[in-house]
Amino acid sequence: MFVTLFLRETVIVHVNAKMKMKDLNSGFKIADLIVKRLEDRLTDEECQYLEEWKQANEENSILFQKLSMNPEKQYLERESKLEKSNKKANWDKIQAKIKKGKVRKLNMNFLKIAAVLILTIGSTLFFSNLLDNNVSSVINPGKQQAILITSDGERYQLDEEVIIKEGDVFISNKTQELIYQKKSNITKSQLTYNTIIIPKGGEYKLTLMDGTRIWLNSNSKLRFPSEFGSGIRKVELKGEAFFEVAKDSVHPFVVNANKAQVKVLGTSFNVNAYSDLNEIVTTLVEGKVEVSDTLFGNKVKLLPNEQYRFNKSNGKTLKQVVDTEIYTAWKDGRFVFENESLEDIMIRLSRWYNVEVSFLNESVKELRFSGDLTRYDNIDQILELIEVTQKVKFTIKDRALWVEEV
Amino acid sequence: MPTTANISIEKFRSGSQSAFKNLYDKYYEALFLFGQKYVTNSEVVEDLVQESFIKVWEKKSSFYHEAPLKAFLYKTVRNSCLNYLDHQKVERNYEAQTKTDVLSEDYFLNNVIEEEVKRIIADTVGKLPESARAIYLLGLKGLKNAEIAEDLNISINTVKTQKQRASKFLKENLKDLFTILMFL
Repeated sequence: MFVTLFLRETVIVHVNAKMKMKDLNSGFKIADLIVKRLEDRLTDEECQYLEEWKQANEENSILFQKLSMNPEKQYLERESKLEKSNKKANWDKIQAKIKKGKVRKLNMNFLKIAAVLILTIGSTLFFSNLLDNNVSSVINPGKQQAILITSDGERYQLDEEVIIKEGDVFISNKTQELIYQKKSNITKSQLTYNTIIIPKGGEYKLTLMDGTRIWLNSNSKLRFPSEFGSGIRKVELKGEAFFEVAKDSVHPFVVNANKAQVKVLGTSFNVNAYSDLNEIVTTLVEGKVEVSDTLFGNKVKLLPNEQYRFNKSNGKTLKQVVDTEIYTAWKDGRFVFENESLEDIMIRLSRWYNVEVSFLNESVKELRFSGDLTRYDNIDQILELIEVTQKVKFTIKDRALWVEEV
Repeated sequence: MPTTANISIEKFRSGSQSAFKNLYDKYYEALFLFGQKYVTNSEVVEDLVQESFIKVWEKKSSFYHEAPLKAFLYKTVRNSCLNYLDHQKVERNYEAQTKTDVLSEDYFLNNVIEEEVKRIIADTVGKLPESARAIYLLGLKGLKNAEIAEDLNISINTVKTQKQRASKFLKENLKDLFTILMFL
């Protein structure tokens, strides 16, 4: 039987809901029906549902008998058991702890172990029989890592410190980001290009010699001249980057992204141009940009908070006003998703956490979620949040992540 | 007995202390009793339930409905209890004594059902005027009016009238109690 659920005000999800006895929601419903039964307020349908549950196994009918015998005595017993609890005092304690921002430890080791165990036991409960559920390997978040390839073909791992001189430009990453600085006033006629590669699970920042700052997300590649010449400032992007372009009205800045071009004068914007995705998405935070594509010749000017989506395969375009935070939060270390499909969310997670995601059921791909959380936690945190909705189950084995419906 | 207010998930998500308090008032007792099905030490259970509420507060932005929130609370209390038992290495003795498998899903589900039924009934009682409470509780057994009249030493007509009043009161005020997602 299909039931329509409202996950958010405007989104409707159809779920094939079978009576799953292990599901807490069915437990809540049974409790509700038992009370109605005691109050003699059951409809015929409800009566049947309850009968089926009662007869499903012996434990159920025993439980029902127990709960229908002398409810007045049970009520009084319950009240007297509650005398041992301190509702008000505990509320005060909760308030105090929240204000302190720390969770009190019952004893030093217990909570440390408990924190790890709770996560493990939590995920154990969700594990299905399909896959081996021995080890839940720790899937760490991404971190700063990148490779720089200079114009002479030398490769440098940027998690180590580098100081390079290329022509008149000094390149260094002393400050945890790659900075290009020019020491002379001579303008080069022939440009030399560097490439920075960010692997899956990586992120990096760089500052070009004109002061333009670029944040690069996982699985991205940027090709750029070590110093700009007298013409247009041009860079090539594959993947995702956030640009804060230094103002230079004489020399427009152009981002070439895999069939689309973004031209700016001085501004902040995000370009999402992953080759495995169909759309190239440009989101403008500040300033002005002009986006054009090389396939269909569209040219669009964007104002702040506007976004332009260009579909490489069918040429469809869309310009819309957006909450730019959703598209740029990654550069500040956050995952922000607003009514995003689970499929898209998992694509993002797979890049940052460097895991392979597989869906066992197509239906869950279209479930939608919203959230705002740090991307520097292990993947368990965000998976747990999604699992709370009880619509999705995750199983991790090595670096493979399986997604199935509950 | 205090009556429970409606839980505004919206307000809770946005950090309202009063919405959090309403949530606490509604479920604290049921969770306390539920925890005692796993751990008998009431002080420990209270600490564990406290932590569950703190956890739910920390994750408040991920809940859009009461049912999953409630499920999270019960699950978290259960997990904390099992961890505690693990740490205490008491579990094996407990199992031997009672011959129940505390680790099983059935034990979990049935205890949730039990505590929820008791919670709903207690909540209903709390919302009724004093004079109607005993009749409501006795009526739950499915006792005939004559038997109730005998128990309370009043006339059958009084029983019938009180029952009608209670029933009307219930119908008008309980719609909000049963706002659970119904799976058919």
